[in-house]
Amino acid sequence: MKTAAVEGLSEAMLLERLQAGDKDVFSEWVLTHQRGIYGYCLRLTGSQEDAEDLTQEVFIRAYRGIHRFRQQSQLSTWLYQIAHNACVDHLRRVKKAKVLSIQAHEEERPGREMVTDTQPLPEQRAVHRENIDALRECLKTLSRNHRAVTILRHMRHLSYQEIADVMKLPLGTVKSHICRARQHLRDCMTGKGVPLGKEVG
Amino acid sequence: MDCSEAEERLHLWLDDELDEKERRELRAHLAECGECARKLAEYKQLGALLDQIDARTVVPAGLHRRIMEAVDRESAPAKGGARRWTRWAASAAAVLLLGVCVGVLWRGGVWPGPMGKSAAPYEMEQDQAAAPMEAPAAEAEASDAMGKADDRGVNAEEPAPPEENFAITGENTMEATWTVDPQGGDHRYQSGVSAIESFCAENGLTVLETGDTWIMVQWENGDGKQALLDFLEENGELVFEDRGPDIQTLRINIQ
Repeated sequence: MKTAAVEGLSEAMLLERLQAGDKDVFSEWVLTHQRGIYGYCLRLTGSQEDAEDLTQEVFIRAYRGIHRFRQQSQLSTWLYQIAHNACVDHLRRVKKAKVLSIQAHEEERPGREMVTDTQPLPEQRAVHRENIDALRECLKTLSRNHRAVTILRHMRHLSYQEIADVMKLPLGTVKSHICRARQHLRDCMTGKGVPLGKEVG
Repeated sequence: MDCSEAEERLHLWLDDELDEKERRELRAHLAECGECARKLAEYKQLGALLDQIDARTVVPAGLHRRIMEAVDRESAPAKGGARRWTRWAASAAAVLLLGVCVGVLWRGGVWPGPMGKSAAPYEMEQDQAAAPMEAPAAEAEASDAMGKADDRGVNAEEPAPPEENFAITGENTMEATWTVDPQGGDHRYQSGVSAIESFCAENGLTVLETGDTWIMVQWENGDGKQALLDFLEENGELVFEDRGPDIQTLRINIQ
């Protein structure tokens, strides 16, 4: 979702404008990535409120640090690196297990400005809703690293190398995390009585 | 190819991390092995469900505005800039004064005569004027500061031996005390140590060691050092004894 000011800019040109302090370009760069960063923080922390705070924190850190960015990776990878660090710091502090159990339902809770997954689903998709709910629960049972690789790979579509860069892990570790995370999710779904393998509409 | 190897490759295939030869081998295995083919279907459905979960993520209304307001606060006319210079000047003056005092004491408690009260900068200026024309100014400063003191019975300009001031951390480490700014909202959910750890990870600085209330950081160049100092200044009160560019390790004691 690139908008006018960043449309058509190469990575190098975008970086140049960001480093020059172009506020319009920064604003549109935020628009481009805020959903991805927010989604990552939301899935990793399990809390909407924390995810909002963390998303703001990530972009402020990026704003402060952009002039030191030296193209050692893609800009977006660097942004996810910041997001990952911010989330890990946060989870360390608040003890993730507690957060996830207490705030597990916050994700579904309507009432604030906008909440995830509140749109009514068509009748014929009710069965998929059941699958999605089960999978969302299963995601919460993954270890932090397994959850992080799952989100980065499946939802943010990062390559193994990019995930390794974001999480500062060896490539082989990323591969094995992805493999284990998928196995865990498959087993978890089976355990919940909604085994995978049927076509999704 | 056995099933365990095939399963490993299934993941790589789904993630587009296999080359053509490996894909061909896997396809051959899947054609013969119903169990692995079933797993592939399951993992594909898992991916589809995860896509659906992600597709339903809605950014809270007002988040963009909130972020940009915070950015505007960051870039608001930098009172902080002036404050930072003031702080730096105060720190530099404190270091200079400390150096002068320790130098005096270190040289056996001999108090300087009238010239000594003018302290190092004045001494250097005098000595530079008297230095041989062919000597570069920097060398002149150094040699004068070290060499001419005895001629005048003045020793206040002798730099303090580092060991005396920094016995705790050793001669290759500088030391700083950092009081985290409780109003510095951007790090309100971190400890000081983890805030610095994150900063180092994002900016290519190396964390050598950490404790509950301290962290030891190393940088490779002046940019890294300056970035770290800027970060510390922006997020709290920093008292820092700079011992020059040759020393690349800083122990930060957090209060």
